[in-house]
Amino acid sequence: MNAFLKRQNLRLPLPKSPNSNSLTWQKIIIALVILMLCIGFLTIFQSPIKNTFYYATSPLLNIFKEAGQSTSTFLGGLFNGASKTQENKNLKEENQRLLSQIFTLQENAKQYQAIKEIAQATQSDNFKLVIAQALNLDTFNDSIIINKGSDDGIYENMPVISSTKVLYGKISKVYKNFSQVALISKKNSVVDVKIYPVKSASQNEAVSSEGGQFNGVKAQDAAENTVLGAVKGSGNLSLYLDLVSSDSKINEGDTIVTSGLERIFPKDLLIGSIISIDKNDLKPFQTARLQSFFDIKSTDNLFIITDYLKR
Amino acid sequence: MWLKYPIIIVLFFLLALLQISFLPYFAITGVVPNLVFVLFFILIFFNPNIHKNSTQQSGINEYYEAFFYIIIAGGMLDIFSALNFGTSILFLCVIYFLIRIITSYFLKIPAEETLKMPGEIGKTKTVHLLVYVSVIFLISLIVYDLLEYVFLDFPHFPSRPVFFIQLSYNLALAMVMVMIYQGITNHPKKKQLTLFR
Repeated sequence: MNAFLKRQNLRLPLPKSPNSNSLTWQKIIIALVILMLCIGFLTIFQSPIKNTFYYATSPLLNIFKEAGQSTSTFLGGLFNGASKTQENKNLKEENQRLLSQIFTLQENAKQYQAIKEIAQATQSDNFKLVIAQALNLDTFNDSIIINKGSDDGIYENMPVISSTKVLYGKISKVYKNFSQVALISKKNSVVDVKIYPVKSASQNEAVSSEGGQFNGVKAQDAAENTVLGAVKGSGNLSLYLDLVSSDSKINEGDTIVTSGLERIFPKDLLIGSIISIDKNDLKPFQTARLQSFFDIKSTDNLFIITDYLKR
Repeated sequence: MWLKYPIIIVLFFLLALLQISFLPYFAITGVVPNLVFVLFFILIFFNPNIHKNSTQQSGINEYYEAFFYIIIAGGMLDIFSALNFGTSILFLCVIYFLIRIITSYFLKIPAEETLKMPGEIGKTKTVHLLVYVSVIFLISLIVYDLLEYVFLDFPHFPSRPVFFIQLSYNLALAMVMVMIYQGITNHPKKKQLTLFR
């Protein structure tokens, strides 16, 4: 370093020729003035000048840009191989976590929808409901396990329904955090029901619309047409209607709902519809095969009516 | 001899294009090296006329050549940036006079050897040369950055790490270009092109 640097007095050298030195400075000043004028001129017209320059050089700029992009990607792959592997692993884990969150959110959305439906359906009943989820189905015993138990205020014999007021069964066993629900299709299960004749209701409407003598007494006729019976379980998620008197008129397609007479299940909970009728004049009662409304395999959210037994 | 000027114009142009389209993909914390400034510095610093002893009179040719470099380099920087025309030219004028003052008053090279500067560089110790060049370069770059921030970006000065990265990145490239320039200008005379003589 010392070979290059030295200390020197900072004195300006005396010009040998004053005239030539002043001429040099004159030229420099003139050059600077011309330079400033040129800069001023270029500044005024800088927009079109720059625009022309960018237009002319844009193909080259694109070439260099693509070259830079590909080189950067190549070098990034070379030097960041290990970090890319880790980043890939982190992204996979995050993806799985997000999928799990999406599933949870979808379940929550289903629950919310079910709560909304049951709230609308039981608006007039004012039941106190506890939402539960079916965990498994035992078709051999016609029972399901739900994820609510004694810690959640669940007791035996509490009715279990869906969001659309379809009756599933009642609580048969209660554990601390889980409960077993005996479905109404279980053997030896009996539910008092009433049959709403669909055709008789429509006939009443037709007569009253004609302005006949039955006009204005539609409700009474509907009440008189209600048939009482009992739904019994035959196992394997099947139901049948029994204890309907032979004199009563029932039809295929009639809707079966709970009557509420045995004080276990609230009234007007949906059970099923009649598929076929077995009527024998030698027997005192007629029976019918039913199509149940409950669908265990596609049901996630169930509701337990917790305050009906107390009423 | 006259061919060196168009070559220098093309070099400045290509470096400006590289600076704005190729090097942004290799930016470090947003810092892109200023290749045009680096080439300008090398051309000014290694100009034989600039290392004349202070007792000697400087020729007008030195100023013509220097202003040529200033206008071309400054013009390229202004065209490919959002700055108004003339901003970089004025800044590079300041840098030129700064380099001239530093090298004129502190450089211990006898007058008769200054004219041999381009050819004699290859004989000097490379480490000493690089250290000397890097110090002058850093001073010039700091002054240039300060001019930019004071007149254009005040008071948004960069953070210390960014400023340090800016100096280091530009210095690294400057050293590479100095070695390339040294390699080009120190070829044996028989094989050497006469472009820069």
